[in-house]
Amino acid sequence: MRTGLFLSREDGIISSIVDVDLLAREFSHLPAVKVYDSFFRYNDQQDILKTVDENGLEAIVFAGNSPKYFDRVLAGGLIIEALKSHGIDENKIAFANIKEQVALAHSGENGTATEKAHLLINVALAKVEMSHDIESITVSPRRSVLVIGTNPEGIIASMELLEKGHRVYLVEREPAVREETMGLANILPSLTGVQSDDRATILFETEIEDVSGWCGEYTIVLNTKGQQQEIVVGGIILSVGDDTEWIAELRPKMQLDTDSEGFLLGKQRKRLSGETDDPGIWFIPFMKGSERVEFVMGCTSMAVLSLTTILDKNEIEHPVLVSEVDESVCGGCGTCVKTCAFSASSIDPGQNVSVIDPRRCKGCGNCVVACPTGARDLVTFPEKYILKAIDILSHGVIHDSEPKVLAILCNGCGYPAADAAGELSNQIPGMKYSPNVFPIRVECGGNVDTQYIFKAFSKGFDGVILAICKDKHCHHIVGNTDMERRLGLFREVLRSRNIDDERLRLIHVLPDDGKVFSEEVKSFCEELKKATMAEGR
Amino acid sequence: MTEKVTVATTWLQSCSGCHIALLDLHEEFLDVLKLIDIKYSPIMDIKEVPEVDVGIVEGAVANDDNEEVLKTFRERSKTIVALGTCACFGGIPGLRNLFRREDILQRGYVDTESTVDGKIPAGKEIPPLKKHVRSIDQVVKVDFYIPGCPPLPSAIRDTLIALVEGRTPEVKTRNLCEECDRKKEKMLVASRDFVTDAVVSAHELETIDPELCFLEQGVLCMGPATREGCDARCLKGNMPCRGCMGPTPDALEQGAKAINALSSILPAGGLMFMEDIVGVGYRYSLPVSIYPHRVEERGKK
Repeated sequence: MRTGLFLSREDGIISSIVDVDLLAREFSHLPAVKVYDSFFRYNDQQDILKTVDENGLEAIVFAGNSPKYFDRVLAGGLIIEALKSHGIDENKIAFANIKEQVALAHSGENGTATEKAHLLINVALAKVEMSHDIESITVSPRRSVLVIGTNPEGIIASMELLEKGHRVYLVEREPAVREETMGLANILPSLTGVQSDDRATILFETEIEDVSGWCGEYTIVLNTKGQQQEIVVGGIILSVGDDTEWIAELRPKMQLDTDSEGFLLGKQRKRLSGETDDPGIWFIPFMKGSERVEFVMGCTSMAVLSLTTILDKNEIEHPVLVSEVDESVCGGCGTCVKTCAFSASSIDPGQNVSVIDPRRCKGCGNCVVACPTGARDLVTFPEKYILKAIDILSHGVIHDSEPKVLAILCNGCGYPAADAAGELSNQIPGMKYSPNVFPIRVECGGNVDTQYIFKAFSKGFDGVILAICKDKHCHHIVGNTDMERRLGLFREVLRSRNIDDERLRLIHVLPDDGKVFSEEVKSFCEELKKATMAEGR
Repeated sequence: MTEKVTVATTWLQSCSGCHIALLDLHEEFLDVLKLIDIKYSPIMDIKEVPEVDVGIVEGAVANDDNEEVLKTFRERSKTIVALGTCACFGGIPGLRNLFRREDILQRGYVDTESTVDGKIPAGKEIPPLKKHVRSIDQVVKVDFYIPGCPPLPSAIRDTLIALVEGRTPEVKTRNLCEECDRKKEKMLVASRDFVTDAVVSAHELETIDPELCFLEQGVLCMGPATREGCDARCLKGNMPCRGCMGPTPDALEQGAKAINALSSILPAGGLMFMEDIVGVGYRYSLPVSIYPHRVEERGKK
């Protein structure tokens, strides 16, 4: 396979610490290696695409910014989309995070940082090599939207959707329109508008029983006073205000994130944004007080506009992130069926093998871990790759006097928290953690196989630290708690081999918990060091 | 008549049960004997291991003598077949890898309640124990495997016939649920509820439902984490699987996989209190697990 390596100086932020030119020479055996000032400027991006075409590249490794940064900024999404249109599969693009998790985290230790960056590039190269292409499915978006909640925001959203020519299902669990709406004189005309429109269906005393599918085509099972019905909509707008009880019930069905008070929290983790991880699901942020109406007007229009822009497209392409089944090994035990929080697994009674519903599978990898036969694998983080990465990182000899630690980071919270820790330690030297801490990204806490932890110890790591989502923040609802349950039992296995289970640390973080991450990692390393000294090594 | 295929058999660290399984072919064994010529075996009074077509090895490698015999077998056999769980995965003898060799010798020769003035033997009369027990393929190259504690007699027969006919013996690769006929009710329902409220031992149940999945009755069964090929004998005899067929080919090891799986099905608290989870997960396959033995204290390498 022809793989290209692109390194970023990030205008000196990376190159003042990591010797990117040296790295470029060290990887000069690859078909194409180039160093850029930034990955996010028009000219540089054009050169990247030109290099891809000229060298007939099939896979790309970006050594520079965190993949989370590519997700966050517009220019990051643009280059990924452009690469896809130049024939590079999404799964053949990997990231070596040598900015947040190397340069920023280990400033002042240039030689060490460069050595660590080299290892992370090797890991990213292994990822593109061991991953196969992702399949995709194209749907024609439905021009209909499910609006949940009849508070003022829900009414305005419904009205605006109707004005834009979409069909609306307005669902309320209470027996009538919420009182707060009835008290607002300026909302009532919109309510009348919705009520009298043929294209709007208002359902009271109705619960959302099930949601499946993806942006453009969701199948929703509604239950109105015991009567079930199935509807298909293109998108969903939640207008549930401060009804935290309802939010808690809806969260697992739509993978919503909530803050510590139980209110909905957006992808950007900012108060004003109602964007979720799913582009077809938007919510209207809750606000108290007198400014509420003007405020929600703006937020509501933004949610409606963003959603309808997507739904007005002719086609939406969805990568199928499903885990896979090796049918030669699967005996149909049903463990995956019990494990999946999204009811995506079932056993085909004729073949007696597990089958996955791609419309339900969120690609979290919980079933991959749970599967007792190893028949399952995750397309985005194949098991073979993770084992190879552990092997590569175990060969990193950076500070002989410091304990060597594998940091397994979940994509939802642990990984961004490590990024935040890098940014923080660049500003506050006291927040610096040891370069002997080697990060590896996995999809979810539920994607952490106890076999990986065992492998890490057998490969000579002194400690393993797992950073996963806090409490109710797991992006896959049960990944963090499932993993904890597995660890509880697995610690017994470690002890049976005379491996002190204190060498395995679990920490819970939020995406911006850089300080927590840094402090926990530092204290873990110190404890490991004390323990090894006490053993007289 | 064409010449018979020559065979040598031996047992290393084991109970000889796999050889008994061969005899359990009963009169069918006579048919097998028409095809093979057994030149060497522990029950024959022959001192020197001859050159043969097929060497069948039962048992794990646990002492110096085992290692020497195994290497001789490998040198003098065209094909080596690992017979039974101990040879394939280390088996029950492999569980001693959880302990220090000195502690085992001390317990066995000195501390046992019935021993008076015991001492640990030194010298050549008893082959010294290896530090760790190994499966035979950790010592020599192995061509074919017949797992099982003991293996199915029919599996031994089928492997021998395949070898005589120059075919590759058939290997089954799915997990035991494939062969098990027990009904699954809750296991196949897409809900996150555990299949049972409490984990119990089979003998604690007033009656064991012979038709219902053991896990759904709260009894720990290793079937999901165990390779098929035993014809689900234990389950047909109303006993849960203990995992003697070893892990499936896609799993790195049996114990960690069993833990991953069982904690999705059964209440973890119950699992911790009810069972020796290490013993359950690694009963037959510790020497081939990711961490195949106890870690030595640091600084005492």
